[in-house]
Amino acid sequence: MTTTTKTPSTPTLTGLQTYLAKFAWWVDARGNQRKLTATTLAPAKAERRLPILVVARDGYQERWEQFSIRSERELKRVLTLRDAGQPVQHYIGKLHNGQRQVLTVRWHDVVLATVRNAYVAFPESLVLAAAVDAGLTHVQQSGSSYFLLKQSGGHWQSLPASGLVATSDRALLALGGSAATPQQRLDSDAWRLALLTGLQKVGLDAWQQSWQSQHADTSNADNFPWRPTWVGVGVLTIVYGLLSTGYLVMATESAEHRLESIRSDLDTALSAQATVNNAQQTLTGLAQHQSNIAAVDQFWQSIADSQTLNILVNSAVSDYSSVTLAAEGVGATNVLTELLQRDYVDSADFTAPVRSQPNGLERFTIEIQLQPTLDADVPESETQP
Amino acid sequence: MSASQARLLWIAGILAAIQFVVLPVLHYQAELREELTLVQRQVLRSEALVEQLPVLTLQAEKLAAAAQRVAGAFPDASNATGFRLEVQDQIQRVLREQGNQVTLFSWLAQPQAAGNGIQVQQARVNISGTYKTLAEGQLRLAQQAPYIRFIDASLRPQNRDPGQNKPAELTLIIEVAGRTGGTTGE
Repeated sequence: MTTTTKTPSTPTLTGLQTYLAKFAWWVDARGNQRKLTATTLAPAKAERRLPILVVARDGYQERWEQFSIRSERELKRVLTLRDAGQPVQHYIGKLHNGQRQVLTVRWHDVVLATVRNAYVAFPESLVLAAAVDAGLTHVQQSGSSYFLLKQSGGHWQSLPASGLVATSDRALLALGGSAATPQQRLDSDAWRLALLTGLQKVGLDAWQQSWQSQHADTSNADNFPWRPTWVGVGVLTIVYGLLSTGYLVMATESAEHRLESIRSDLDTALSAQATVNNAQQTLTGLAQHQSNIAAVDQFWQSIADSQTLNILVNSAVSDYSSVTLAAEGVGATNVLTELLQRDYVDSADFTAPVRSQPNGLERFTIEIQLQPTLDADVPESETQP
Repeated sequence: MSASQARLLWIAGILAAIQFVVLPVLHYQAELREELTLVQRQVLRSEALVEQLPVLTLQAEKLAAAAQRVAGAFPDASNATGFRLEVQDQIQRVLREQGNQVTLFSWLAQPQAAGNGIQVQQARVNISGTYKTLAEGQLRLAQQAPYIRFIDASLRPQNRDPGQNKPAELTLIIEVAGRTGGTTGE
């Protein structure tokens, strides 16, 4: 772009519109290009493809048709077959009462080269129709003049001004609008802004269909650089595989190396640990053969307690984890209660019913579970025979 | 060869590459990863162990010495008859010193190996005395002969008098441990 004179409406552009404005180009009926927001003509560099192109109303022929084909895909196939090899775009509308409205845009030869050079090309009337309110719009700028009638339902039609259709009233008649249709005129600034708004509002469908029309003749498979993509993917996969395998191998080797470097220390440590374990086992084993003096003490304590509690022990049998006292005395339950409070007693209970005797004494048998002792686990203690 | 044939061939080639190259590589990587995890865990454990090496060595020395000492404390039983006589003599002497009388002493079975270079044999001892002398005698025996373990005891008073000096008969099953060899320990 050589010289740009911003239109007065530029400051009111929204963020998306400024963004669109950077990529949107316009071509008039004589094939002259300029940026949509620029007022002077400025041909794009020949090699560069135009991102978004809006073609002036004089640069194409517009035709509306109705098809009763439900499937958009089928309809597209039909249209493509019908117009094969011709410079056309198809915009297929939504299904409405079993019908689809199709706009066929036929480019004039003058603009065709520019259109081919664009990624997305829109007819001006389509973009404008998306921007304006329902009613008749008269666009007049830089020598081009046309009328666009937009119904309240959204359907629209446009008609270039000619000797026959020179006024709005005539245009209304030609386009089939009622006399009460609201009318508006767009000068070049308002028109420019309306196009930007239209690009924003035209809808994803239109973008998609324009893109597909632009790329229908050049088949996707030929256009897309499949070979480099595949080669790239393959190379990436191989490189990833090599790198990740290499990393794993190296990490494993370094870990093994690390292990190897501490091997001798580790062996010492392991043997030390084995010694510890062995010694502990030996000590535990030996402890089982050492005198259980604490249990002996507990046994005799229970005998001594039976004396203090004034009961007559008939027999005391012990395996040094429990003591069974067969005794006679007064208050058997009291004796049991007393015994339970001794700290060498883990638990105690009668093993047979308490029998009262004629002499007033009770005969009973108490089994005392002794508190487990640690007398054997004294590896550090000096034990001399 | 038409384009579709070529495409099919390509797809077959890619599938074959996945089956025979990519999948084996993935398997190999999975194995490597597993191995790596194992080795790393081993390294961590080993390093922790090596860090503890001084403590461990000290502990090992101490415990081994303790085990040796404890094992050494058991009397030598390599001469079975001599050992029996010695033990029997000691038991009778200790008990008699406390005023008891050993009325029966009988070895119950042949010595049995009990691991750690130790053999055990059981004996039955009948002792008569009073509560007091019996208690003192048994406790003294436990102190002086730590290689004797008391398995079973049965105490029967001889009369119904109360008091500490009640005559009674104590039947003990004891287990006597001794070293099988001359040297013991590890």
